[in-house]
Amino acid sequence: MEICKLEHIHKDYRMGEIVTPLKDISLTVNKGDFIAVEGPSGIGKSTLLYVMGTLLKADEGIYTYGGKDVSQFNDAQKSEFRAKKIGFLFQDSTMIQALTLRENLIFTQGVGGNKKNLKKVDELLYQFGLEDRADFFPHQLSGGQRRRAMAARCLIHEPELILADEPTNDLDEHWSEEIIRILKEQTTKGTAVVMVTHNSRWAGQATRRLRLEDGVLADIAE
Amino acid sequence: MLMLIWNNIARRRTQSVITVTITTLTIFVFVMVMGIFQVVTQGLELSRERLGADAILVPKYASASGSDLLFTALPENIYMDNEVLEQAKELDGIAAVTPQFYNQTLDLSCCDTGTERRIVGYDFETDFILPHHLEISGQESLKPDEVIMGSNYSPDLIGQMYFLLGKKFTIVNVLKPTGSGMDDVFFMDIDMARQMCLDSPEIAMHWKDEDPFTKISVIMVKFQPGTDGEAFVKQVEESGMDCRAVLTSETISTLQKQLEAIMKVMFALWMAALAIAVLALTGRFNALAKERQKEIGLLRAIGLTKGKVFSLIIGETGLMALMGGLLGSGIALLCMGPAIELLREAFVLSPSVWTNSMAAICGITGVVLAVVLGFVSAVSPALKSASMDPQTAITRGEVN
Repeated sequence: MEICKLEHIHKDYRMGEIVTPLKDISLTVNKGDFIAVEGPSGIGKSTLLYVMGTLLKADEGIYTYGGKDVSQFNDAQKSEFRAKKIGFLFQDSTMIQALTLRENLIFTQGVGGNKKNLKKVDELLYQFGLEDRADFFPHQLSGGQRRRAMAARCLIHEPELILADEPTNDLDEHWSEEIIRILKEQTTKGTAVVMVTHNSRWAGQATRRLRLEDGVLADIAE
Repeated sequence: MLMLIWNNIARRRTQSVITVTITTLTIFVFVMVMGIFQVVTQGLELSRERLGADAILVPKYASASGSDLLFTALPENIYMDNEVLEQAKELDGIAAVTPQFYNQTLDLSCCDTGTERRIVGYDFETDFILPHHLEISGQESLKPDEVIMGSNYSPDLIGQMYFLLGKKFTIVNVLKPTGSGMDDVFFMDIDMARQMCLDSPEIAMHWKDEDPFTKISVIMVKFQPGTDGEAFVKQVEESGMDCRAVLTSETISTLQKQLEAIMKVMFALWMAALAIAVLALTGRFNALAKERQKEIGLLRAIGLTKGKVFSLIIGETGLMALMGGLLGSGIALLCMGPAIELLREAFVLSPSVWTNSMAAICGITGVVLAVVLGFVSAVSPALKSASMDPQTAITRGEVN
C-alpha cells in the first residue's frame, strides 16, 4: 500500500553556481518498505530526505503523501504532517538543549496534539539503553548516547514514515546493529523507512537499495 | 510549550540573568524618573490648590525667598512690626489677611524634636489657610497648649503629648499632604509661639532687645476675585510699607519651570538609556536566535508551526522582560522613599505626596514598558527565526 510518491522531483541550490542534487527523482514508498539510499557524500541524499519530510520544497515535480499533493500544504498543514506522519533522524545530533532527554521525548510526543504516553517514553529509553540517562541534558550525553536519544525521539510519536540520515553515525558496532534492527522492526508494523547511508553493510539490511547519482535514483542490482 | 519557554529561561541561567538584568536596570531608572516626576509635579499642583494664599507679605529686607517660605520647613527668623498688618488691611484688592509668627525647634535641646523645624504661630480667628488642610475638619478653637502637626506626622498621634522647646503640647490635628513646607511644620497659637521665644533660653537670647508680641513674620493675603497679582506687588512697593509682596502662583510657576527643565533632561537621559537597552537586547536576542538556529530547525522539523516558533521566542523574551519589569519596578518603588528623602534635603521643594496609588501607577507602567521593550527587541529576531527555512536552519545552523 502506497504511503508517498515522488514524481520527477527537481531541486536546485544557488550557491554562487547552480548545484542540482535532485534532477529527476521518482520514487514510490509503500507501507513496510525499508529503502536504503546510497551514494557518495554531498551528492544530495540528505536533500532527498528533506524534500520527503517537507523541510525543503522541490522546484519541480509532484510529491504526494496519502494521495494528497504535499506541495500545496500551507505551513500549518506541513507542520501537522511532520508532527504526525514523519520521524526524522538527522545526520547531526540535534536536540532541545534546555530539556532533559526524557523531556525531549515528551515534548516531541506532544507536538501536533499527539497524545502523551509516558509508558512509551520509558519503553523507548529502555530499548535504547538510556534509562539511566533519562534526566541528563543533551550536553551531558556522549555522541553515541545522543544518537540513540535521537533515534528514540524519532520513534516516540509512532510515525508512518521514518527518514533516517546516516543513523549509525557515532555508534559502536553493537548499537549500530541494534538501531538497524529496531528500524527493521518498525517496518514489520507497517512503518516505512527511508535510510540514507554510505555504508553498504547497513544498506544491505534494506529491502530495497537505491543509488543517488547525477541527481537520479537507480536501483542497485542484488 | 510553556514548559519549554520556562526551561529555556531557567536552564540557560547566565544568558537569562544578563537579559533580566538589562531590563531590570532600564525599568528601575524609568520608574524612579517617573515617580520623582509625579511627586514633583503633583506636589506643585497640590501646593497650588491648597496653599490658600495668593500672596505673602514678608519683611522688606528679609533674605528669604518665596520658595524658601513656601516649600521648606526650615526655620526663617524674619520679623516685622505688627502695624504692617493694619496697613495691609487697607490695601486694594484684599479679601483677607492673616498674620503668622515664626519660631523654631532646635536640634540640640532636650525635650524637643531633635531637628530644626519651623514653628508657625497663627491667628486662629483670622486664619484662612489651615481649615482646608486639616485631617479632622471643623476645628472650633486652638488652645495655647495645643499643636497641629504637618502631614508628615501620623494622624495616629492626635491626642498624644508632644514636647516642643521643652514645653508640653497636645496634638489636636494633623494636616493633609500639601507637597509644601507645611508638611513638616508645627502650627500653634500665635501668642504661644511668641511666648516660647521668651521661655526658651536658647531663643530668648535673640530677643533681648525686642518684644516678640509686637512682631509678626509674614502676612498671608487672599485677593478679591479679579485682583491682578502684579499690580498688587506694585501697590505694596509704592505704599512705603515695611514689607514686600511675594506672589505664591509666581513662585510655584518659577519652581515648576525649573523642575520641568530638570525633568526634561532626566527624561531625555532615560530615553537614551532606553535606546541603549533596546539595542543591547536586540543584539542579545539576535545572538541567541543565531545560536539556537539548529534547535529552531529541529522544532520546525518535529512539527512546530512558524507561529509557534515565533510565540516561543516572544514568550521567552516576554517572560524575561516581565521578570525584569517586576524586579525593576519593585526595586525602584523600594528606593523611592529614600530618594524622596534625599530630594527633600537637596531641594527647596518638599515632595511629600508619594501615595500608594501613585506607586501602583508607576509600578504597573514600568512592568508594561518592560514587556513592550522585550517585545520590540525580540520581534525582529523572532520573525527571522520563525520564517527561516527549516532545512537551512538545521544544516547551516545560523541565519544572516
